[in-house]
Amino acid sequence: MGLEGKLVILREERTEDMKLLAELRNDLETQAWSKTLPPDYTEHMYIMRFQERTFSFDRSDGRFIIEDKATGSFAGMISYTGLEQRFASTIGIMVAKPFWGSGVAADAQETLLKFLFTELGLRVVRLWTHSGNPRAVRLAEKAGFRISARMRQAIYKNSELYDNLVMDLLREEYFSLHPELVDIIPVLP
Amino acid sequence: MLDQQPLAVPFSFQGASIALRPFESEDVDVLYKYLNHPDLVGRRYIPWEFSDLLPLSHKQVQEIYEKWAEGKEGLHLAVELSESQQVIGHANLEVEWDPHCPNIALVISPVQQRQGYASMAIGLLMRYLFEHTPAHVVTGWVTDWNTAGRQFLLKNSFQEAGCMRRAGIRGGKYFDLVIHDQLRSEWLQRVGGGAHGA
Repeated sequence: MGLEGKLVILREERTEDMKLLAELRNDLETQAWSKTLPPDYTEHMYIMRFQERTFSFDRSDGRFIIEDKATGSFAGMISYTGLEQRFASTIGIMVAKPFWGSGVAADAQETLLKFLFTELGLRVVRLWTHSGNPRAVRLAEKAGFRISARMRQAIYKNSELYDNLVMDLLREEYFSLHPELVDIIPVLP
Repeated sequence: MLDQQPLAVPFSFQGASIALRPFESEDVDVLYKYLNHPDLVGRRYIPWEFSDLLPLSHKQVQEIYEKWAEGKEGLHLAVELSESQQVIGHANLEVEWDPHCPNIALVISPVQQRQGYASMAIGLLMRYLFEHTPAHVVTGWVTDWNTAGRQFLLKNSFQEAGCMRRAGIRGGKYFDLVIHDQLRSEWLQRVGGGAHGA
């Protein structure tokens, strides 16, 4: 079943998603970082990556396909990486253009955050973006993230220099935005 | 016709009284001693898979040395006193993937601090990065409780860029990592614009 939000289901990757993941990766508009270039990823590359994923209870990441509940369509992917158990992780999201502005991204983000804070017990969740991606900044701010660091001119993309942004959301900030949830973990100073 | 130009000399990490050089196997004992110095706990700048809080065994220090000597993940150099050839610390230069924005860290053994060695070392690292690599901006990360480290970066013309909140727990409290940066243009202004374009 995966993780269920209001508009989306975050589910495991399947072989049939690989073609769409490659297409998403090859769309320069959905790629925030030059690291992921050039846009020549193939379905085969993604299948190889998918098949290399082995069973383990000790993984430090999670990768989910965002599925639109209304249509069952592939709407993008969301992940967390660099998990420090019970402490911190970093999230990332890519949403297919037909779903931009539909609320799918915000719902996927909320669904993953609920999992990270209430199941994994994290104390902080972070993300990285840059000043040339205001859409990502707004999306993160919607969930309560705030810009905590701005590294000047650290990102070169599309002939422009942008500031690299660290955004983070503390556990108590998340729970204060969700009064329906109760946090039983004591707060440290 | 062979080019008669002299061969380019490799960048020399040689300062007034210190040098930066690759770690060698005979450095492991001195590395073990200063990495386990209580004053360095929490600011040792060692690979993330090793605890920055707990004592390090000889085997762990040997593994750290092997990683650094291998040189596959960034540049990790010993800081050596030129006269006595005594190793007094280490300098890290890390590039996650983009050489446009590398990250540096410096550790000097507590018994050798406050003698200007770190300033000499950072001068060499910055010159290397801005004169011999595509670096445009250099960052340095310091825990919020490491006031000496923060002052050191500010003294060396870095600016505070903000922090990564809640980077760990120390003494029953969360702490942050304070991020500093310095642009190439700022460095050029500081050193007098003598450097050529990257």
